[in-house]
Amino acid sequence: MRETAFSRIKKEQAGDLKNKRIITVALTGAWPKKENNPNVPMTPAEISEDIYDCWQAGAAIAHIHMRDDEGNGTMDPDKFRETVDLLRKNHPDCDIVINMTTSGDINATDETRVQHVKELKPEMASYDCGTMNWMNTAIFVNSPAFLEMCGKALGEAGTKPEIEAFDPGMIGNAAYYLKKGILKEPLHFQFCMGCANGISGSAKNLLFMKETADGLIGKDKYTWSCFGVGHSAMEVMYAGIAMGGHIRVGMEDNVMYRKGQQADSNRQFVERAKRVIEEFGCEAATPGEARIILGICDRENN
Amino acid sequence: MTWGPMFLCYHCPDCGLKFKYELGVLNADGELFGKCPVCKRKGVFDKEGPNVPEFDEYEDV
Repeated sequence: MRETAFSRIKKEQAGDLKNKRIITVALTGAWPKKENNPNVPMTPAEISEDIYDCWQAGAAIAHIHMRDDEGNGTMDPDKFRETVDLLRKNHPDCDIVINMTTSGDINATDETRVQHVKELKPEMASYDCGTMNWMNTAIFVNSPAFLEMCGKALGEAGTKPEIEAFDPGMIGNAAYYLKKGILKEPLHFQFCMGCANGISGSAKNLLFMKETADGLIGKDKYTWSCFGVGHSAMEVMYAGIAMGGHIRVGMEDNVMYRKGQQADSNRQFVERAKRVIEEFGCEAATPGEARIILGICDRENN
Repeated sequence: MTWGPMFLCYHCPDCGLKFKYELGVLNADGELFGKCPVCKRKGVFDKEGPNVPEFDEYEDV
């Protein structure tokens, strides 16, 4: 993105960003319901309040999914709009980066998956960079036609893709779309570790994902974040921070805080992530710092 | 989009214990994956899926 006077000033104010680690909170996801954890936010009102709570705790990016009135994943633009509107109205001080999923309903059509991005133009949106089996029961389709269409739609909306990579092949796909001009530098990856049918979650595998990206995209030519599902959550968090990456936490990925203990809230996850970052000797990035790190510093908040 | 961890649920043909393994520990547990934590017998597969309330009766190994 072209550097402007605004972005230069913001960079100066942000100081040394190398020590800053972005916490993304994924609050809801497409799956967990109240029966899995009564604390998972599901309505626009619940989600918007939880976003604010997590922002106060140190999250710089909120990755959001919507649910219909039955609690199932939906791509309804009105739900996304209502959630963000409530946040802006009730908490105008909150400058968290809004990152909207494009994969909130496994049965959604390609067009439905990007309609809300076209209408609402969020600062970020997810870009699941390949097709995979899903929980050994279904297929999570991200066809070449969809990835081209979605990449162009995000680009036209000025929305930065969060490239979710569930295996190394998806990093290769991202490199292809970068070379084709569908995706633009700098890329931002979210290494999704430990999901069924994806690469299993471990420090060793996270290193492999990063080295794959180094080779295909170019070392220091992309940013990356990571999370681990289930048993791998803490191993991937610690390894990610140690390797210089950013991290994602939240009930979309884990409803358990630790084995045998349900999470009280998404804030609990964010607070733990912030403690881990600070114990390592780094600092949790503010949303403003996150925008500079990711190259979205000239966008107005959506 | 993620759906959290996936679990495989078993029961032991010897002691009847119901137990579940998270698929993500397949690498770490190796040959122990799917075996009764008490008897070490190979468990009989019952069902699979994300961790839903009906899986609560299965001990998380």
